[in-house]
Amino acid sequence: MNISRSEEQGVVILSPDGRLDSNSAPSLEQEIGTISYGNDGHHLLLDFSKVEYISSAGLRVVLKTVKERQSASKSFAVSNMQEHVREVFEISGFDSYVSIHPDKVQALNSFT
Amino acid sequence: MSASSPDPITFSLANSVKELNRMSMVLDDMRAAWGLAHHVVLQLNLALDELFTNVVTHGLDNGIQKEIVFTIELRDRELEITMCDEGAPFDPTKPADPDFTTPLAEKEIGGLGIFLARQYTDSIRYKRENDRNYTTLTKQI
Repeated sequence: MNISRSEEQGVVILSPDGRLDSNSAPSLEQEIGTISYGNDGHHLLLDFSKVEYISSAGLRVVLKTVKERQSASKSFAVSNMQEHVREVFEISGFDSYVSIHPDKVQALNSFT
Repeated sequence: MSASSPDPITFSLANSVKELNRMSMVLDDMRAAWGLAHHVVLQLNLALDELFTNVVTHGLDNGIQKEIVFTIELRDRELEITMCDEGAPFDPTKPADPDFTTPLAEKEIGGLGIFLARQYTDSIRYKRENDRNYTTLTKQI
């Protein structure tokens, strides 16, 4: 799975491309692990516009990221979920733990 | 072959999560061949993925290459898929549903995979027979 990385307004944006399953989730987890969340770190936005599928392995990576940044100075959000992916978040109850936004602009605004 | 009961599809995967790509390709071929709705196959893919991942990561003996065999049948608008492996006795449906009242910090998500599989299927059953594990799921199309 290809994960492209960019930065806007001091927020690091990761855009995974493809399926987020038990095969690809470790590489997303690893990539997220390179972005520190201390005072010198960055807010993190996962842009899911190219994620067409997510399994529990992907949800676990998202949950781990939520937990890590919960009491940190830098926070975390997800944007641009496709319908099926959003449904999986809702069915699993993860939509109440994760900051989810319909688009990148609203997500970036939420960090300020 | 009747229109409502096409010939079953059988395929096997090695016990590695790398095989998930091939699983989705086989299911996509099935979707095209049987004219199934996209969202049905997406949901089925997720359920099989979760069960398969459980077997690969917990069930089969490490270092021993065993195949996992899938058989898919369509009868009277119901899909029935059986997953068979020759590992140690292991029921991939065992973990209880995750407790949604647990605070995030203590959340036990071990059963999340099978919880999702149950949401997207009509039934999932397990049996142990002839030194093999059989997990069968059904889904209305």
